[in-house]
Amino acid sequence: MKIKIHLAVLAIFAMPMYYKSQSINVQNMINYTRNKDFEKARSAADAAIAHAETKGKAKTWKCRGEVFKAIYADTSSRIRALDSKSEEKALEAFTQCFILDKELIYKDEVKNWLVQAASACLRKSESYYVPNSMYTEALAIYNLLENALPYDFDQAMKRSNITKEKLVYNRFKVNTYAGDKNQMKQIAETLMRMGYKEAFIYESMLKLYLAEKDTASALSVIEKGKDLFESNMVLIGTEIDIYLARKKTQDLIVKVQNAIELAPDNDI
Amino acid sequence: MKITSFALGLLVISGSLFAQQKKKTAPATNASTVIASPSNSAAPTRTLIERIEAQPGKISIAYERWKLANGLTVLLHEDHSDPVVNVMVTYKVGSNRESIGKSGFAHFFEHMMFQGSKHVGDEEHFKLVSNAGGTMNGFTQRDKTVYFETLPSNYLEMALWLESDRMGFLLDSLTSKKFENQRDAVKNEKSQNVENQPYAMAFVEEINKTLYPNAHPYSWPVIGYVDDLNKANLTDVKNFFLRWYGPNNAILTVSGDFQGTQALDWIEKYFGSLKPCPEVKKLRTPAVTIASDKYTAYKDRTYFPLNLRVYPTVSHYHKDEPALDLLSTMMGGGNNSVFYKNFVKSKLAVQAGVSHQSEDLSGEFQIQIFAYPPEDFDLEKLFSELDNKVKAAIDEFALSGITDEALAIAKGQIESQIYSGVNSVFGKASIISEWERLLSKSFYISEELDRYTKVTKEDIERVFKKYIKGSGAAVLNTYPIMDTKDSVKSINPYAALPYEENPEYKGLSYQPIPDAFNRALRPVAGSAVTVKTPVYFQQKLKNGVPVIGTVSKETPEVNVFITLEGGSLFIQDKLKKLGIPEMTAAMLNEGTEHFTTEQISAALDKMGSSISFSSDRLSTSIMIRSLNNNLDATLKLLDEKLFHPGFKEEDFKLAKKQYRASIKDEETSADQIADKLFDYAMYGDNIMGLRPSTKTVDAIELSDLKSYYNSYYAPDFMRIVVVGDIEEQDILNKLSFLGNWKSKGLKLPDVPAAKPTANQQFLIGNKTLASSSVIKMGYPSLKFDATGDFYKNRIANFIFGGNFNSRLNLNLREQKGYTYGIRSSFEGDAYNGRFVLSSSVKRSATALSLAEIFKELNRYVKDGISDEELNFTKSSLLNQEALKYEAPMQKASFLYNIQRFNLPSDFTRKQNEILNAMTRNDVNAQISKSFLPALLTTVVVGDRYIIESQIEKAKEGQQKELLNNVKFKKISID
Repeated sequence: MKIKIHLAVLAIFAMPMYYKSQSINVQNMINYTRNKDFEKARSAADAAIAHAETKGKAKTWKCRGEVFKAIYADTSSRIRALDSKSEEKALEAFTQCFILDKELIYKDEVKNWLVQAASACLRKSESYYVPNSMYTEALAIYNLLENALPYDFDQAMKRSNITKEKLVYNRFKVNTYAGDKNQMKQIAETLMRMGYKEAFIYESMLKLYLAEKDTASALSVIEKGKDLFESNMVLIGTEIDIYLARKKTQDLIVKVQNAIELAPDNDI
Repeated sequence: MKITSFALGLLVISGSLFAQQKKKTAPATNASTVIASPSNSAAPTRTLIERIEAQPGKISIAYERWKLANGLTVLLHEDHSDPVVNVMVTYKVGSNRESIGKSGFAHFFEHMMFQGSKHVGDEEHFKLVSNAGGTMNGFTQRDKTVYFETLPSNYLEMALWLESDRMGFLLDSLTSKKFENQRDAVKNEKSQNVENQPYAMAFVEEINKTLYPNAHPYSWPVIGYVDDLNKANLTDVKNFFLRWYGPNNAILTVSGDFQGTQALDWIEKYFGSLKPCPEVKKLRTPAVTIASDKYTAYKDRTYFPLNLRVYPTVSHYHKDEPALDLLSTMMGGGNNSVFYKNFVKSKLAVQAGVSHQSEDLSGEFQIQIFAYPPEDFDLEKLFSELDNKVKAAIDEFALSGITDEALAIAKGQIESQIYSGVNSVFGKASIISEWERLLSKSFYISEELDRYTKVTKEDIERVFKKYIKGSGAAVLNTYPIMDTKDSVKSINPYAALPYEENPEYKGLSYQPIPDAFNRALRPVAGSAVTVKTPVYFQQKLKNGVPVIGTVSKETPEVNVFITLEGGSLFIQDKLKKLGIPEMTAAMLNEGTEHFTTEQISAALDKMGSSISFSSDRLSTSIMIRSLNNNLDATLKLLDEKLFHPGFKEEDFKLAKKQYRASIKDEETSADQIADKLFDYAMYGDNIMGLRPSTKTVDAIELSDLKSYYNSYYAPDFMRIVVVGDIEEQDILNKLSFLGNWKSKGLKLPDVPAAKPTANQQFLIGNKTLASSSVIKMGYPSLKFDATGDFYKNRIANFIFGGNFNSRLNLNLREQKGYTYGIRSSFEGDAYNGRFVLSSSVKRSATALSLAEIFKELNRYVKDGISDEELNFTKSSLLNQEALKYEAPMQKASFLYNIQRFNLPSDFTRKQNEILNAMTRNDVNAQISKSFLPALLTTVVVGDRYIIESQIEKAKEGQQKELLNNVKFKKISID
């Protein structure tokens, strides 16, 4: 009995101490970041989200975001090299902060950081991941950005050119570079339905269908594309080629005449 | 708002339109006619392509289209109404032919074209044209570069000789020194006209980076990036010239008073032997589209945050261009538009406009909102709000803005705009050149008009859906620079890219074809032209108001200029409420007792008429413009506005807010600051030295404006000038209602004189990190006097600072590269006069510029001018006479002076006699009498710390003597 009481008393006292020892990770994040001891800050950040007591707190994620923001924004390349995914982790952290912060206590403090991290992620995907064919990483960024969109309170992400539609298009582009035909078809359908005005969509799908020898689909893409890009010579030229191959002379004459009317001195 | 398609800056033929009768006996056929060369060459060297004459039912400019064997296109438009001629050469190359790493080159090259050629010395082109009394310039745009001069018609041959020499032989005189000087001049131009001008960067540079795809020729500014300009070298100049500047890539247009056959003979002589450049194919780029809004931002020294939204549209003469032009007017033109109502009237913005402009490769549909700064300084919130409101305005327009009435009003404005900016040989040359460049065929004004009159409401709906509703836009937001250490930055987005040699420049070599004549022999001017000053009438209305006017039938418009002398002179006892006359005039631009602002605007817009009130220190002006068939209705509205102003509280609040904001905006402009400080330094704390401030405007009540109107809007000191397509008796009858206006027994107050100064004074206004310094110097001098010492002072000033080849300009701009331009003048009106010298100079050369100015001034006073300079002065000023009476505004200015100063009709003859009679000693005596460096007040606006440290350093060096007296005092106005 005595032992049980002791244990109970111990537990009662230990729990706050246990809890206190977890929240110390949060405090450590703040302190280490302030002191620019980013290695330790990063460890504290990882520890803080590993434990149930702290991982469910908005403050934890806010501080975690600050750690990784400080890392990726540092002028020293040595610091930046501490974590190759610091931009993503910052963005994820700030998003998670808002998810947990139902009363938006941290809104004024974090909203701009969220946008900054989002911009940094987008830049990374466009200037590093995609040019280096790291398509999986690029796509992961787009997912993170999409998750952050609901917290774009002042439309600042929109003014940094991060919108849902653009992300869909970016996914299409990356999947095209990666050669993922199924994804291309799926996303292209969405974009065409949206009437998204990028000629690249239609030109890429046209290429895909021609490679698959699916002329019907190719012509359908051309038809939709010409609605938006009436003077696009890739679409017009390909259409004429198809009609030439099919020996549909009457239709061909009409197509060529239309092309000439659009651009009398075009090469076609 | 402007309707910006070049088609809308069109010119109409001189004389009546439909009734333009046959001027020539040329064959009616339009068949090509091959003409044998006047030389003994067997091959045809010039071919008539087409002769465009007046045709029944078509408004047109009559001209001829010719082609030389080397590919030069020649357009000739004869117009003998004034003894002037315009020679224009359009090269079909602009910044569109540049490549990444070589931006700004077309414009840089344009500068080089003024530096002399094989037979024309350095700066001599300017000098020869000035000597002839002409004016000249050039400009570079995205798709073309244009050079032109307007001269008395007896100098046509010389103009053709000049243009042909630089078209064929520029490279012979190219030197590193000239090249380096012009590199500096271009960089100064960018600094002065772009980086140091609020909002300029937004429009010419920043928005294009987002609007156009990577590497699109329109994505970089015409003036280029400084790092690209720094990399340019002489080889680039040579390559550019050899590749693009050939006769086969140019259009030569001659417009004005000349004989066609003689002109053609000269053209063939001077241009016929010039070697073509390699074939220039039409440039093609994919259509620009933006899927969803693309945002960008930058910082500028501006007061109003700018939200600029640009939708990509279509190129020149695309079938949708007219509808887009009209759409822009419907959306944002005038007080009835949705953008005016939602942004300006609601006091969210000081200005909101919509415009459309097509170019060769693409078009731009712009929505510009200059918002009031938010009181809570939350710009993110403001831009978010503006974005939403712009979208809401577009939606509102979609629901209710596309109406037959709105379309009719927009079309009415177009007809009027077609006649404006016309009436000159330059204007006519411009339009026929553009038709040739874009269409390679003749065109008619009536066809241009038809493009617009045929637009239907359905067309408007279609283009609205396709290009605006259904499209993304490039959106730019400007953030005011808050940190004094921050500055406007021009950033080259392509700076890190490697430069790839343009294959177009491979294998080019300079091998001119020898002439069959001695090109070094300069053409002599023909017999002097007879200059006729306008024939005018002078009458008085019933109440004694003087009316002066002249008939001008070049276009069917009538311009009436009304002046009420007095302005702020009547409120010299109310300095704490400066701005009353200006705001009273602003109120008269609004609604009346019987009509709202919108109703009046709609009525005027539909007729293509305008009535505007403005006021300044000395007078209130009313400008009326109308087509002659709408004059009665327009004058009826003038009657309503002038005699029944509304003075509504709502309009007052809006006008006050706008005026106040414009004053705040002026605080961001170094030029405006310099003007303000200079006036104050010259006059002190009185009506001439002070300007309205936010403090004085805040103190103004509506009752002050009503009181001013009731007391001082009167015919007591009123004058009227009329120029237009209306006879004397007609206009007097129509203006008779103004003769019923009763006098109020006003007395015109005295005008304060400038403060006498015994010594030089140096005053500085601080503008931290300003990229240029504005210098303004002067002292009190004589008031206006047409034939006395005031006129002689202007003669004396010509060489010093009164023309492009002045000592000041040649030194500081051409030789030293300190500035894009520097001028001096003797200004004067009926009350006061002063000598003024002004320039905007490189920040790093402020002290040096001051030193050079003092050096030139001291030398001028000590040594005077040479005989050669005297001859140049006389020739230039005498020959200028021919150009003075061409356009209606020029005629109006001539008449205004006669009326205001009670001058005899032949006062210009007297001026010419004085000029002719002046000897070198006379001019030098005038210089000694009137150029007074010891009395100079100098105001400099720029970074005070940089400037003062420059001065201190310079005092220890070679400029010690010149700058010894310079000790700046900070100046501010309470």
